[in-house]
Amino acid sequence: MSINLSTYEEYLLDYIEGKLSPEVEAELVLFLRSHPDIAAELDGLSQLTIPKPELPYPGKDQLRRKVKQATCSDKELDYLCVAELEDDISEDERARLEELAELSSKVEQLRSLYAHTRILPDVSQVCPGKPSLKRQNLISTRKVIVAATAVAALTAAIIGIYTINKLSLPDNSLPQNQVAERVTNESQPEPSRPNSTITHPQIQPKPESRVEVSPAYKTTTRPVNIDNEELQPIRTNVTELKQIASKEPTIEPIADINPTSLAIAGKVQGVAFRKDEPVPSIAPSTAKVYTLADIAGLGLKRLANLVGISYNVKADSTNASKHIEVDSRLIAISTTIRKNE
Amino acid sequence: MTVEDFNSCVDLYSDGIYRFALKMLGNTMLAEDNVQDSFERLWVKHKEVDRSKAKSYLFTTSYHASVDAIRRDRHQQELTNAQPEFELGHQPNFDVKEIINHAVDQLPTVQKSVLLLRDYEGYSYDEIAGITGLNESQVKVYIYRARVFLKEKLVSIENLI
Repeated sequence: MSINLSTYEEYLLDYIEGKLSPEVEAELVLFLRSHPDIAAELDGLSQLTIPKPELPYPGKDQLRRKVKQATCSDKELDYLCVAELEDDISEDERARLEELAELSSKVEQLRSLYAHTRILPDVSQVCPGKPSLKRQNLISTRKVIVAATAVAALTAAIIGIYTINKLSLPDNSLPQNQVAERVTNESQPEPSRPNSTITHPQIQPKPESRVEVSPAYKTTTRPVNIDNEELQPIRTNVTELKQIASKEPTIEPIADINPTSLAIAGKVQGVAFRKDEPVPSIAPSTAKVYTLADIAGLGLKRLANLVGISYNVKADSTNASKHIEVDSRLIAISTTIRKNE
Repeated sequence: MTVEDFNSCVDLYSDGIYRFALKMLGNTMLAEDNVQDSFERLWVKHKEVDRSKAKSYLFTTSYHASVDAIRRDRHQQELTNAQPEFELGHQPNFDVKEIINHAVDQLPTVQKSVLLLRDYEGYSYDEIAGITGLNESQVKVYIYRARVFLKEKLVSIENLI
């Protein structure tokens, strides 16, 4: 670059305003030293400035446009971003946030940051002892057992009742020591008949013969020894109740058999007679008498045979009774059958 | 609630409770104990608790058990002058997920629990209030503070980077 008399002017203004590069400025300074007249012209030029006029425009306010409020506190911005993240933001708040987002990129940054604060569970983490937390349905199993037992007992009861009611058994199927006494005379009551002295005559099997219940018996009570000293302080009615409860029941034949008692006895074998109906006469030669003990014993044995369970008949020599035990896996039936009951 | 309902609760909620307890307690053994205890308590009351309330009952039990365990642990740390297990500034890992996970561990217990219930299980403010015994406004405030805290942690890490 060469600054000469034809080109120096274009550099002078830039020199005054300080816009020349150091190399060009150094070259210009050398040029001005070699030309003092031009340097003097430059001194006057550098001091010439035009003062800035103080003349404001009067209609400035009318020209201004309404600028949207872009200022927002950090707290408000945090609140709005969290509310948006939580989906707990009102329509006004959402509009405000969108407005702020248009004016500032800071909103988007905050949104991104808050999106990271949503923590997600690690689904690979599973409870290690889950199987051990589960429970067995013990109550239901117990209910099933109870229900099965109840059904078995009900079935056994139905079969037993059916067997007892049927009672069209041949006489030879009865155990010899449980055969009822033959009715000899309905009008002649038997005297008192101790349990230990009853004898059972041999019964000939007669399939067609109708089984009849033995003459009705009335139940009396035989007092047992009661400690009077214990009962003394008790009131009279309570004493009587205790005495009744402690008496061992015995069965004695009714002296006078009337139609009513026979009708009651008839109900036991399933043939109900009304009181006003004439009681059928029983032929002494054909009628067989079974005691309730015989009926119950037969029913239990038949029941045991029917359901395929074992039973054991034990004779009790002390009171001339029968003790039948029937066992199965689910139920155990034990009953004591005395003669003449 | 029947036994079948109880067992279905085990299938459905045991993992969630385990994760919640694990994040709250930071210890697998304690978390397993927490789950066992929660389901044991539910079993004791299973005839009285309705099936629809079972999840809430489980998380309520787990939350209270966690808070109790944290208090005991804090007391133990104070007795032994133990230092916190983790300091965020000392970790060289700048993965955002890791930062957030560690920052969550630095949250106060209540803020941490409400945030976990909110994010892990998606519970509403009302449901969280029912579980934690706080009111709905308190739940909102705690969640807000927790999120701001986590955001500040992220911002500080970004500034470091």
